[in-house]
Amino acid sequence: MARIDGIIILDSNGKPLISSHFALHPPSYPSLHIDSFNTARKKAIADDEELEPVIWVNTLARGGSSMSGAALCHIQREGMYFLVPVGQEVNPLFAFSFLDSFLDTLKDYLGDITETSIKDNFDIIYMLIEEMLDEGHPMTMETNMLKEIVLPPTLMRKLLNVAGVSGLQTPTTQPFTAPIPWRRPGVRHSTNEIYFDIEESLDAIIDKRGNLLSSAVRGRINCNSRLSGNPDLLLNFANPKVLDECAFHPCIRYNKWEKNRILSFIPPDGKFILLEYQAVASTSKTQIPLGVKANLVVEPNGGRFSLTLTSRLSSRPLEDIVISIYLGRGATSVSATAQGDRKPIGIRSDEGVADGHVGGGNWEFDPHTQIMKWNLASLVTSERSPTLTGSFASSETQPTPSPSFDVSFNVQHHSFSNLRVDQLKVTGDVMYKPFKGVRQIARSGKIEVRW
Amino acid sequence: MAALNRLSQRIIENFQETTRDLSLLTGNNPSSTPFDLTDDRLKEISALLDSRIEKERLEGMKRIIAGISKGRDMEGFFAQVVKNVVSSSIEIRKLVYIYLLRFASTNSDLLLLSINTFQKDLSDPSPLIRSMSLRVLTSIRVPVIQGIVMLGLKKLVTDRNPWVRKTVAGGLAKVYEMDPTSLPQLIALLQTLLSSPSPLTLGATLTAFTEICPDRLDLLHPYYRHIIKLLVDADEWGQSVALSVLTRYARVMLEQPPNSGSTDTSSIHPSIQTENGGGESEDEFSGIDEDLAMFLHFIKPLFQSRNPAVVLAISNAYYHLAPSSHKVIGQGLLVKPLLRLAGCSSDSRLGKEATGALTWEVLGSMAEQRPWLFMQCHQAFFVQTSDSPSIQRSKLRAMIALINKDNAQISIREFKYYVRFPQSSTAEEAVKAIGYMVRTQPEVASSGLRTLMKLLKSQRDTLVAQAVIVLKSVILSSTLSSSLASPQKLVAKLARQLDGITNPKARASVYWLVGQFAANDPSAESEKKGLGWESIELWVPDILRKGIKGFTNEASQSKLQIITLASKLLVIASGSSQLNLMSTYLFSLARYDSDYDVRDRARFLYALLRGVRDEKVSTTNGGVARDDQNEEDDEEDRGGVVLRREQVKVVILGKREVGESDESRLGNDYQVGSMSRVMGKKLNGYEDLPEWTDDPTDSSLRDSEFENPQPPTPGPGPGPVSSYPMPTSSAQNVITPRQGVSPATSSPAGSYPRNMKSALGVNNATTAKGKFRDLDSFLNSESESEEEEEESESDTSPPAPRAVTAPPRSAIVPEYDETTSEEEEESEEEKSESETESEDDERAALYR
Repeated sequence: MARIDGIIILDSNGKPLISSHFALHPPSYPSLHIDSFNTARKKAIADDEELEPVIWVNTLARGGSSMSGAALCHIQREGMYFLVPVGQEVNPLFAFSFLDSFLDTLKDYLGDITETSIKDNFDIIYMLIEEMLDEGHPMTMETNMLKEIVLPPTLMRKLLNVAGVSGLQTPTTQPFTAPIPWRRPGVRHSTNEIYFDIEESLDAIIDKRGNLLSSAVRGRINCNSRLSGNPDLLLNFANPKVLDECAFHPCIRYNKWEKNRILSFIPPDGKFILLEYQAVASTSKTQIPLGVKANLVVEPNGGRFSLTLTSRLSSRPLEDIVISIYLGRGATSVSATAQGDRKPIGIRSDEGVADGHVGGGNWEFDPHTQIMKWNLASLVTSERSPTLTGSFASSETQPTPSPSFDVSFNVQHHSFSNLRVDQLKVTGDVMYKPFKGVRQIARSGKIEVRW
Repeated sequence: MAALNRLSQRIIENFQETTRDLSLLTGNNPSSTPFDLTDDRLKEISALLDSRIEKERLEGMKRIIAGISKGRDMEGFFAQVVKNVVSSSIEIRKLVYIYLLRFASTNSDLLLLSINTFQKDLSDPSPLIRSMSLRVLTSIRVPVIQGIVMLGLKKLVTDRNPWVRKTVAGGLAKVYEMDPTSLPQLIALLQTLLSSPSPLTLGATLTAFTEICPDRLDLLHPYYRHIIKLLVDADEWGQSVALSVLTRYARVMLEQPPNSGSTDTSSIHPSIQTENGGGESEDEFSGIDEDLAMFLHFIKPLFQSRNPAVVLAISNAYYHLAPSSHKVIGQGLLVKPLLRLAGCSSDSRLGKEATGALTWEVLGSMAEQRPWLFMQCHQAFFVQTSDSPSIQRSKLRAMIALINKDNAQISIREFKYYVRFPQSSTAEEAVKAIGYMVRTQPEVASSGLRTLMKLLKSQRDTLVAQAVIVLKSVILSSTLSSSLASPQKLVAKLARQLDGITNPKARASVYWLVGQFAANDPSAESEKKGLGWESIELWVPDILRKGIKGFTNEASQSKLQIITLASKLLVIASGSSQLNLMSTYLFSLARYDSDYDVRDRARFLYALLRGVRDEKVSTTNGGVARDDQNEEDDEEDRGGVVLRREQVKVVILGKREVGESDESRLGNDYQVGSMSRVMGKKLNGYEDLPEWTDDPTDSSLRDSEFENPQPPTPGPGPGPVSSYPMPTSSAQNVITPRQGVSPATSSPAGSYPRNMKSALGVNNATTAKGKFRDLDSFLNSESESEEEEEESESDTSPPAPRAVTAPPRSAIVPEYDETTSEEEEESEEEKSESETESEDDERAALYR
């Protein structure tokens, strides 16, 4: 039932780097999938379409007697393609869940997932796949547990390899004996610290008149735990009611949360996602902090547009604002002027962005993708609203630009939902006072402003 | 200590810098990794494998694996590799295992040499070695050794380490595949595994179940409740398997809850349930099979799983099993988690676009089947231009399914907006949706119609085509209210646009419509009376003229309709010589058309119209046609019936073409939430979920000694935390058993409150040990005391029903703990199974 056929990793040209776990299939099986994928990919590029997340591949059934088909699930990461063929009926998200965990593990082992790091450590990857999959069934998936069985490629081991010393493969602890699947026993850190990054993103649709048609705030708490021993943590929120629909890391005790709205958990070591949530829709829909007045008029062979931005967030500056629009097939050129205050406000001047000035920003048009972008380094409430007015030309008599502008921005140290961490209690067998840190960042998800 | 670590690291770094050349000495080229396999390096392999130095053998193995991954033939090294199976290095052994698994079936003879090693390893003190050797043993597909494999499975099925047992479960399916006759033995092993108190083995065991005997759902009876309780703590991958197995079990074995299907939509309103009141309600789950209620209730925490597959699996379970509206376990619960999952597609940084797209797909199917589930979150389905095409498609499907009176205005506004999308497929779908709304939602019909008419002037060819086709179905639809522009006028407008319409299908539709409406009698009582010949005389023949003029350039679709139009006009227009001339010309054009369909149709209609033509010929006394076709007429005279004008009229104009149905999803009736549904094609192993049984099994079947091994002990506290289905005091018997079993302690109803009690740790005082056996129980001792506090608190005020009922996350089970001393292990083994479980519960409670 819940079985996948194997894993194939292709490089950016579609050549196989790793293809594992197909022992039970005819040798042509993986190649068949690779070919089908490459064909579909090339076709999608030629037709300027997006590749479907799952591709149907006609194959021979397992055993090779009759014709049958397989669903080829694939994702793209860092220029490489990760394919998982599924030859049997399965939960549609199963393969993707597996790929996600596989990639997380890989990242943990290799640092960055690149073609080079994969080529350098292919033996480890093979061993990992061997541990993670038992004839297509997920076996050992917890990274912490895997690390006991398959040793990560540390500097120490590389060195020992070079020096020709061996026999040091014995892990520090006996594998398969950890009492908690997600935490290795005997973790030691010189400085005990734990950080929580609360990331929120806002999806919204705004109509022509500036009314909010729909909005949703999604958030994640990324945790980086570097605590010795077996600490037991209690995380309190000042306003836990904000958290509406949550997805927990398995370490969180569900009952405690249901009863007291407290997150109680023994954290895994290292980086992990503690919680994902959907913020509750407050009575008045979440107002987006960036006001966009957008106008676009389509004319024969072109059109005119004007954009005005205002910040509605008095406490913090909005950063990295990008307004973009697809001007339709045949769009050839854009001429526009961006205007705004040239008043120095000192934000991010240290990084040399926008010379310490926030003016009208700059715009660019890419004739290949037909996308126009307007970038502003930052925006505060006090400054005069920056505007962008201009026109575009198109080879089509009646151009069809996208009917909405896509908006994106960041706000540091801000939360759309106002979620606040109240306190973090550390209990358990720990004799230290850990350093605790909480950081918040608010981002735009998919925000579109219709014109 | 840490400072030391850092120091040592720095030293190592230094050391590495200086020894980089060292690798040159050992014959490695540092610039190339083993992955870059050249022929030279291939030749070295056998020398490396025979080397005495472990490191070189490792290098050799690596090269072999690299060769495999590059598709080279590495089978020749089999003998040398097999020798390395006794290597003391785990790393080498693992590579050897990978190699052996790949080539085992073709080299069985050589492999038999190494079987002894594997067999010996089955008794290795390290659970890792035990599990690894069993895995290899079961993966060797050689018939000769199946006996040995079976022995190994039997030996390890009672292993103390759950990870090893997990491997056993994985091996069952492999053995079955090799030798289906061993099924009885395997089922016995499976049952042993099913009774395992550890949640770790659950997933693998049920996976094995689905592989070896998916239809023997009756085997699960005694373990049903046990599985449900462990489920929340099982590994994520096992959970999704278990959920699908139990969903099937429930369909076959349990009683269908009232209004669980999609049929009953009248009573579906969340508000209806509210009068049942809060937690005090005496029979919250009344009318629902208690085992089903238990299942749905216990798995609820899984909605909060971080694993998308699990969330989808539980949503499927609720979708197919849960009562349609219920306060605690209604189908409505699945909406928000699925929307959350779907929402992850909007953040490109997560790289979960595919997951999001598939979730939208599932949501689209669900909304089509049960729109009432999603009425509350209509705006979540609004399509964005930045959505990927597949997401747009799914969202639109849902939007169309969700149309009703209340949201008609919003919906039509959205659809009008989507028409402007640059993505043609979405825009076309939106046009269809508008047409659908015009037909079904009278309030917005006129505004929708205006939009459609406006679209006819658009420059986007595909949209115009779609608009014409949609208008055609609007005109034909009987629900079109008369207050709108009359169909006749619409037809006339459409006809005026004909020159601008290029799409063949659209042109064909226009020709057909014109003919149809020209023909209808204006005096007919029906709403859609035709135009009558008099009113159209001025323009309809002109349409035909245009059609004939460009006939050779039309697509065959349109050609057919032009011929049809001509025939219709011939029938209704009495004695127009011009028309006669035109049609004669047309028929001779069509006779020599390249498309045989067109030729056939022309011939057929020509013959059909004979009676009409004869009439005309006689009245107009001859024409151009006569000379040409005399010959043929003579031939035809030999037989057949000549129809009179009225008869021909009935034949040609009699039946309306059936309007296209907008929302047909042809040939995809696979289960919602299955991969086959997503693909629209059947995958191997797909099976429809069975229908609800008419004859549910007795709940006492699921009553087992195994289920409740612990004698009931009075809890230390007053124990209000106990009852599973209800937050009332445990002293009361909380469920009225459906089957009329008396509420004695042995009844199933009585059994799980009691069990819950133990699971929730009320019995701690009796079983807890004074001394902590591991760090973990030590850690959790604190939560225990808290627990009791909470219990006494909740005594005064009845707790919320959700809070008390969910099982604990008892991921920790005693058998993990092999770090304990030998003596303790021994004593542990002596304990009866029941005690093991009670400890399990205790630990679970502690952990909580």
